[in-house]
Amino acid sequence: MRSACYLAWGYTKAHKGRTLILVLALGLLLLLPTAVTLVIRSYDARMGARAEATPMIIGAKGNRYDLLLQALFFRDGRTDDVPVGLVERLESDPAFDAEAIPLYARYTAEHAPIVGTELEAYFAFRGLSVEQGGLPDLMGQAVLGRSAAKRLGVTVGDTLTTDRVNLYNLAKSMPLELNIVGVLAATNSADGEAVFVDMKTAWITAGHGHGHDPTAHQSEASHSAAVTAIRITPDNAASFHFHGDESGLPCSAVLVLPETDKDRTLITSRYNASADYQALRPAAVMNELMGLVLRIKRLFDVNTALVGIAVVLLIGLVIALSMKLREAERKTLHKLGCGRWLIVQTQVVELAIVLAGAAVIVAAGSAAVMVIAPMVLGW
Amino acid sequence: MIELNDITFAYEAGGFTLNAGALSIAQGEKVAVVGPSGSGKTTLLHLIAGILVPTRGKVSLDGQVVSSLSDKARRRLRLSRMGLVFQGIELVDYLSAKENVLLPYRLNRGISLDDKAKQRAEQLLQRVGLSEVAGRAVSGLSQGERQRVGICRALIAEPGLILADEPTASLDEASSASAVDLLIQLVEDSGSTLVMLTHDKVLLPRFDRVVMVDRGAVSGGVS
Repeated sequence: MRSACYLAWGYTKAHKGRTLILVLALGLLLLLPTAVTLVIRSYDARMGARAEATPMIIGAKGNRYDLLLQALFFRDGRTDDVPVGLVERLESDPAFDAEAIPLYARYTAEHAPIVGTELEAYFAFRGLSVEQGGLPDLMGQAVLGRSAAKRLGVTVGDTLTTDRVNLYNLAKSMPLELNIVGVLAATNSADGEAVFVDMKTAWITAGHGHGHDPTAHQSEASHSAAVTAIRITPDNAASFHFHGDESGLPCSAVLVLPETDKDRTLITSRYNASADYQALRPAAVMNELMGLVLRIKRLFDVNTALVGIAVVLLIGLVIALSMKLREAERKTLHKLGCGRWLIVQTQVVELAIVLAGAAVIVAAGSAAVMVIAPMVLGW
Repeated sequence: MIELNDITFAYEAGGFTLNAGALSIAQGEKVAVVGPSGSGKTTLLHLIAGILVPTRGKVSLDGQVVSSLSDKARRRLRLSRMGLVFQGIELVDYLSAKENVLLPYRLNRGISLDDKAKQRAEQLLQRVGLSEVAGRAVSGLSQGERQRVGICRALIAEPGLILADEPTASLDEASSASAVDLLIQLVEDSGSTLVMLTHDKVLLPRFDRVVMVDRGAVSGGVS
């Protein structure tokens, strides 16, 4: 075996280009399914964990996957809003005991989702803690997830402007300048990428509320061309208000934390029977969703297997042709006194070197994918 | 000492048979084997080397009957006690000149590749005028240079027996004379036995004895 290793290494060194091509071809072929499997597993674990940690979601009737992704990952899907008064109704209903937390996540700031919620309740439910600064005590203030703050390069004391919803519709609300008062400790979840505000700030972002203070950049009367963003300050904060019944203002979903399983069953049956709402058990819907993803992955796996078989056959052909080309070498070595199997052993070692190289590519590539994937997929 | 006793060898495919009565070659002797193409010279050399086994009769090396050994034992014997130079200058193309010279050390578990061996390889390559190209892959060397590398490889482990199969066949006249000079000089220095097949009658005076092979018949030898 020592001779085979020596000859194999010599052959590999002398044919670096050929070896590199084989290593790359094999490495990339193996990397693709490995990386996809790792990403899906990791995605499944992260999504599954968040879904498991959320007992129930109530939202408008419609696509349950959209509602799930909206409530858990702040993805603005095609779900309708529900009135925030639903929170009060849930908490005061004598038929069951449950805590309810509204979520309003329709807008973005520098592409980070703005999540309007009852901050203390939501942070306590998710186990989030403020690492720098504190919680907002005024409208127009925000607490950023650690990843969002890092990505946007902002910290406590900086400002962040919400993204304009429609550049060409001047009747729509203007962007709101958010004062950053806190940054959350690192979380390995969608919360890290979010900008948290109270419900009122979220509604102002959506244009449901406004201020009259003449020092504000926007007034009820006009949208001055020179004004680019609404700014809420201690001086004008009191002038911001909402017309009509506040309980009719929107939220995109409500997180429900029933006291007992019985409470959950009661809530589920009541809201699923209604024409306007749906109640989800996130873990169950997430399982369905991942089932769909895994079904698609199975198709991908079949494709990979077929390509893999083709590559294995091609490598077999390469080895067979190589053995034929190296017949003279085999004869020489035999005449010198080597066993007939030395060349076969040598080629096995060469293949092992190629496989080892491919394994390095797979390992390095997988590690890189696992680092890049959360950034690309926005975990 | 090499002894061939009443040898017959026939290829399985038939058509050719080699017959040798009694032939013995003493230690340190330089023997040329001559004969026309296809007469059986290479077959005779392969029988001595244990690459082929006679259909009948015995081949002995220093009293050990080579022809009755297993394939593995014959291979070991070749690796440990023989140096071979081939007609086709058979080198391992992807190794350097020095690596080819040291190949017997890589292939033979019985000897270890130490600094002394490496030094000897360098000395041999220097002696044949190849120290400049020692690190270069042999695929880039000329035929003459390759043959000199082959000669160095045959001699590196200081074997008692050198078997050379028309080592000058693919060389021009000048290279041929210089290669044979070199081979004989190195063999004489090491005290090894040399059995060399050749077509070239000009070279014959350099040998102690000439063995004739003609249409499969080996005649004892002319001093």
